[in-house]
Amino acid sequence: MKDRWRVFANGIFGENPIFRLVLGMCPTLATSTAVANALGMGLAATFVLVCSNVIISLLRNIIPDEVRIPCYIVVVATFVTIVDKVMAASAPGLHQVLGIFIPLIVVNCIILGRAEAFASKNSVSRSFMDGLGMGLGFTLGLLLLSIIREPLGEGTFLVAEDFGFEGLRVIAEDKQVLMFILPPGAFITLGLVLAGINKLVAKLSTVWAQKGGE
Amino acid sequence: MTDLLLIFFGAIFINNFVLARFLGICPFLGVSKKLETAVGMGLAVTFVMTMASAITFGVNKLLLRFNLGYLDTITFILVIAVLVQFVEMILRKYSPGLYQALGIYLPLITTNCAVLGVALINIDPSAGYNFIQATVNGFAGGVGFTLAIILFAGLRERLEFAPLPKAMEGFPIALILAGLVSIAFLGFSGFRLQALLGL
Amino acid sequence: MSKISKDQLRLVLVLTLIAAISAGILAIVNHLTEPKIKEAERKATNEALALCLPGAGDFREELLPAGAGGDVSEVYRGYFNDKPAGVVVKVEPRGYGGKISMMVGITAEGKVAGIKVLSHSETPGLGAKIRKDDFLQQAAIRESGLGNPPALVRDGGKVEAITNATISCRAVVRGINQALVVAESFLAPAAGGPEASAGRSDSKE
Repeated sequence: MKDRWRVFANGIFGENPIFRLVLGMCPTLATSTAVANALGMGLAATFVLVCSNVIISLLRNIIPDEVRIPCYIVVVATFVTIVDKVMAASAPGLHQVLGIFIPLIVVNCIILGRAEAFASKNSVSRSFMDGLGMGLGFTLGLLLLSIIREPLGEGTFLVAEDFGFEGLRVIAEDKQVLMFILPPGAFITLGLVLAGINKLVAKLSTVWAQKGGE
Repeated sequence: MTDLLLIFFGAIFINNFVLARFLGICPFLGVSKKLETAVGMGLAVTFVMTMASAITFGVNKLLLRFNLGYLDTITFILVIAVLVQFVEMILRKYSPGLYQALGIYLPLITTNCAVLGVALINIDPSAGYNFIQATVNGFAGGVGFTLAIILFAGLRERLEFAPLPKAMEGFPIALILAGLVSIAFLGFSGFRLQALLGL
Repeated sequence: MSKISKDQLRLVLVLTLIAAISAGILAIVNHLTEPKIKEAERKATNEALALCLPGAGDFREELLPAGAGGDVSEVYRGYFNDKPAGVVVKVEPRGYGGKISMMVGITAEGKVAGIKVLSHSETPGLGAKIRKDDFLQQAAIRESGLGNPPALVRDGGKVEAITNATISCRAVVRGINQALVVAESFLAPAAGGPEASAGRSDSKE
């Protein structure tokens, strides 16, 4: 059991897809403009990751090596289309905002990467935990960026029109830093957050090294 | 003709696939350390985006005729994967020089979201593109990608020997640099294309 | 390559099987979600219609009249207790970032009753403010109508544009004007209005 939780935690911290592996940059930059968008995108990707990991792990002894990539793509694309349709039916506003980034989960490097590197070699339960960990790690990364970008750029926090939530006004209108929700702000925020996390990791590892073998 | 010019310049400067639409970021960051490889990647992506735009547009018409619109994503990605394989085979046989230059990037293009992205943008009913417009949009998207990655690679080559704090090395500084290039491209968005083109 | 080996057959078989199962699952999912997606779209349209023409309870889609502006995409006639209460026009003028899809309601007296921006791709924080009441509910727009078409201050009218978003605001105003032109041909008593109803009732309330 402990092993399963280690696999789970690895996706969130050790190999966080956004901050450690630096994968799936397109949706990260594009959908972290508001907390609601980030959460929607993160959960959609998590669902696809968990389902495709489980199915690919189940089929890992049936799928021939030569055609494994097309098979993975078909499995992933199926779940992506399911998410797309369900979201269009249940949260049309969010579906419209995320736009093509929902179908583009198909080509998200994280998902095909986990299928190839993990699910095709591991048991179903481990693949499930890996998908869940990676998915939540991705969601957390998106949330962190959106928590910075939405208040600074839009001046509001937690706006979710689909669920009738008006959000909180953090910065007075016309005082916000528009750049944060424009494309350049996405690149620069992610760059600075990444640098901060690198610094933190470096510091933590020296602390651990000093404690010595604990 | 004017609509084609608007689509062409719009997709390169105003709605640049990489810097404004966030499509194709992975190769943009991953294959831009050297100018030469960036040029190779740009050419390969432009070629595949143009072909993919034309083919998926036709495929979508076929899907809609049989009321299978919900299969668009899955069909498009398979078409793109086959197309990339096909291009690879043709190049290897008939143009070994070009294959040598582009070969290693070709398999990466399947998962370049600019390719699937342009296919999906082209069939968006609110854009309402026809076959020619869709193909031009694909080609222009590829040219925009190439322009962005070449500019970016040129900057990164100069950055190679710059003294940087350890934590900023690699991706962080590359992202900040991309942000600055993106600010430069925001300047284009103030242009009124219609007026510039004399329309 | 003269003989297809057992292994190659297996490759094709597995891939075909997976693709077939996927297509089957997606057909089921599509069957289940399509009515709900349609329903959500219909609900959004009805809500927008009711918001644009608060006096009407029942809306019927009509054919576009001849001479409608190029950005006009749909026209609805509003009824209250089976009496015509006005017209709602859907227009899609080109803004700064792309099409601005909006609905404009016009009462039987030819006054603008309400405007709803359905979707747009204007710059966040600038042009995107065209959705806000601060812009849409200003007196110069609220009081505009057939005899009093709106125009931006910059173009000699009274509508205050949002700072740094003139192109977006001008597009909205152009949309309202095209809607007014369409409404005129429906409301003019002499013309009687083209009675070619598309025969689609979009609201039960």
